[in-house]
Amino acid sequence: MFAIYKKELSSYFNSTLGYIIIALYLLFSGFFFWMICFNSGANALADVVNYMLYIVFFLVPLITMKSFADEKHQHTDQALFTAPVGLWEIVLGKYLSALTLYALCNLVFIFYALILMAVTGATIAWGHLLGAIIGIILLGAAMLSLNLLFSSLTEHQIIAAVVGIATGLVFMLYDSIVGAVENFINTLFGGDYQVVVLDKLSVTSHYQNFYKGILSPVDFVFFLSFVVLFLFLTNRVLDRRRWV
Amino acid sequence: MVEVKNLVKSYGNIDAVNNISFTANVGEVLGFLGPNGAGKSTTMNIISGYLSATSGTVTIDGYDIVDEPKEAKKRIGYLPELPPVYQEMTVKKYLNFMYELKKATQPREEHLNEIMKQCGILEISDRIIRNLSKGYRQRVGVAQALVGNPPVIILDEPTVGLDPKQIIEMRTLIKNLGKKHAVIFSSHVLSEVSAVCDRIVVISQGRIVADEATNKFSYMNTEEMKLTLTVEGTSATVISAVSSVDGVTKVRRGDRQSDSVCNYSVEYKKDVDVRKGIFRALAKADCPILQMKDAGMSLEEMFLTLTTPTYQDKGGRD
Repeated sequence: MFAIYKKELSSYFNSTLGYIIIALYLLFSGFFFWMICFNSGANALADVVNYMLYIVFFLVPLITMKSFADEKHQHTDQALFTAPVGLWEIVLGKYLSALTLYALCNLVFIFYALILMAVTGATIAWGHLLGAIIGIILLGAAMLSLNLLFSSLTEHQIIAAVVGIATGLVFMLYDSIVGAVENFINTLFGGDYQVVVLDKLSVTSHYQNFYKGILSPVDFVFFLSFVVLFLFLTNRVLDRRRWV
Repeated sequence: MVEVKNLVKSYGNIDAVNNISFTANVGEVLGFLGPNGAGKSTTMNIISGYLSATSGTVTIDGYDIVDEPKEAKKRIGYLPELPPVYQEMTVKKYLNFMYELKKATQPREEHLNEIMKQCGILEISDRIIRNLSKGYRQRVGVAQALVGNPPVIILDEPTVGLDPKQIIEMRTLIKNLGKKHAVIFSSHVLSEVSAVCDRIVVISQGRIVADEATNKFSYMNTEEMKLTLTVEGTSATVISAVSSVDGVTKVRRGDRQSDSVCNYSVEYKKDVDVRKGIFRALAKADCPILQMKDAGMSLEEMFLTLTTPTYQDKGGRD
């Protein structure tokens, strides 16, 4: 597993992809940082994290799009799948390297906090900020596992990215979509129905708990099961390939 | 070392591989011969564990590729049809990655240098694979298969895309590998297979149609043997003289070389040596023999006979 992890991580930095992702992350977060903390003068770094949420849904698919699609396309998967390593080692190696790159991007918020302290002398609400950072990392971790699955389903990285971004859009607007469904049902049947279960699957509302500073095991378990589910499905997709 | 039993791979109603069985041992180069689309690559992909068979088993050194994939795969070095190289890596980095991926235990520097030397890629070890020619990429692919020194080496058309000099080097390499490994290698170039392999397995439309030692190969499956003659004299005399020899079944006139010199092809029964008889008969008819050659059945003819559907409809060999 470690060999694959190492190779994947270094391949992000041997190609332009890793740098593009980091650059985009810095660009957007820097823009929000400047807007909120300097232009509006609010000492609210956690809100910067909050805004980045909109970007994460579009950036995450770029991190994993190559993972399995490109291996298949370049026929290098034949080396991976005929080597004496298990499928789980391959899936986890790829997943953890993507997660590492993503987590590295999020380190930038710590630097913003230090800059803010140095320039304005403001005191940072570390608890609030760290909660938001943990939240955004967990949300990204969940989306990474889903996008890894998309990458294993196709041979073309662009398809994996496009499907990932479209799905990301759905997850981003999930609460509004559920609300719209609720409204639709209520006007149709004229009542005050509430959608249950479905609203619990919103990744953004689970993130919001972290942003609010609530570190509840429920949210941890939610994200963890999300990741496990989609890594498991990825594993199954790769295993199935041998049979068709 | 490699034991393949009743292997079947079906895609819907089509059997890409149909009941293939054979074994390959250490110290042996097994040539896998067949026209394009015969099922060579599919079979190799199944042996290496990349694909799963519909039915049948593959065991490597006693380890089943499905039940104990890690142990089995440890013992295989595989070069697929297209070398599985990462374009953005240098040769050295790539081989280092394969070394770690395969969990090899040999002293790293020494082992990788040895392999690069063997494959003739030592001088390009710092170049990025993307910029290499097809021939060099192919050699990097072979080098990758040798990492970890597995006892079984499977090479799928390793000489495709190489120039003549590289082909000769590759053949020498394969022959040398055959001394200490079980080598299975596929090709549709017949001369190559006969030059390198100890045994040839011919596969056509997913079935094995021949499995013989190379030196026995060109004579098997034929009732009739063939000679070609170049004789001076009138054709009628020559044909009647040769036909009178015991064991000769058929004489045909071939190309005319000059007014009085002609080529003839003579078919005769297996197990009878007709050469002396032909010599005496033609000497008696005062027709000097300018050349006499055992035509056997060339590998090409053999191959065509074995792989044309009509032969298989007669039953072929399972």
